Amino acid sequence: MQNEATILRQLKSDDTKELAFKTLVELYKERLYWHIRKIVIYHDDSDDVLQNTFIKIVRNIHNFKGDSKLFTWMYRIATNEAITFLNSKARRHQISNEMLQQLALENLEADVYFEGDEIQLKLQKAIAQLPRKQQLIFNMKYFDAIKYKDMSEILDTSEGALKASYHIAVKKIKSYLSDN
Amino acid sequence: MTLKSDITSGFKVPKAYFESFDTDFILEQTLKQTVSESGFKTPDTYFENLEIRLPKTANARTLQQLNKKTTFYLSGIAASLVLLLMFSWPSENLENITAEAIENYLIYEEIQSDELAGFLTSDELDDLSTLSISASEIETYIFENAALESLLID
Repeated sequence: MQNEATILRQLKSDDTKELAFKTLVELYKERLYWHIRKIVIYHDDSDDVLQNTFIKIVRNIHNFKGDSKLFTWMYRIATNEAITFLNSKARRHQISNEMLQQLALENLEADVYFEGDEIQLKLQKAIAQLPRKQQLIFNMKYFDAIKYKDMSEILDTSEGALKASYHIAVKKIKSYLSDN
Repeated sequence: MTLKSDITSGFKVPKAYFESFDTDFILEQTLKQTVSESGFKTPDTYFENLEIRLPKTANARTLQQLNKKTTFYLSGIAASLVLLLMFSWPSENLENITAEAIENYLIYEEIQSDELAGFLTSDELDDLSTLSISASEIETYIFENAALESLLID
């Protein structure tokens, strides 16, 4: 597997850019998709956001200075794209972000691309009770096992604050599941 | 049994590190025993067939490769269309478009800031940076429009 430095060098050269981009998509499409999916809930929306994320990545790759890992930089773009998408969708429907998420969860049972059982549905509802940033932290740590150090670069938050936030999120979710 | 090297290494951990590590780990594991998967799925072979549709940048190159005669004809057609529109388009329609309508269009069409920037020259972009906007105007805008959490993430 090619390392980040090689891909990055190839992405910045006109001759190798196209092939390097294909490699990048192959390497990260699934991880970025699942990260986005847990934020925007619907598959079709996730597909749109994933497309936009990769377009942003290729457009802005020349601005990537290597201060962070390429992978965390891409996650950061994916996170911002997903949140921007939700904000636009909420504005378009003239409802709050919370209401938008609530509607998505109400439709989840009927969604052909959700195969969760009762407890998984309840988990999604429990996650939706958390503040937006805590939702991100919980999903990234609980499902994707992203290290606090990497998460710190993605969300621009100290590791200590992330650990505390995750601890609180897990407690709230446990409490929600036992109360409902 | 405690190894001697643990006593003399000089390393130390934050206060109550092991106690809180145990608590967090146990807390997470007990939750994972109840539920550990999100339940989302994708259409069959979604990842195998996934293609990223990059905006076509090859168009500019293709146009450059057209011969001069074709370019001449295309330019003529384009100029005719512009003239036709200039004289037949009711000008009051354009004047009647309100700032609010334009703003709504930009929001609902989900046009990104970098796409908008693509319509401006670098001089025009520089002019934007010298715009004077008062602190109270910025505060009102943020209060009414911006989502604080997405700003924090930005």
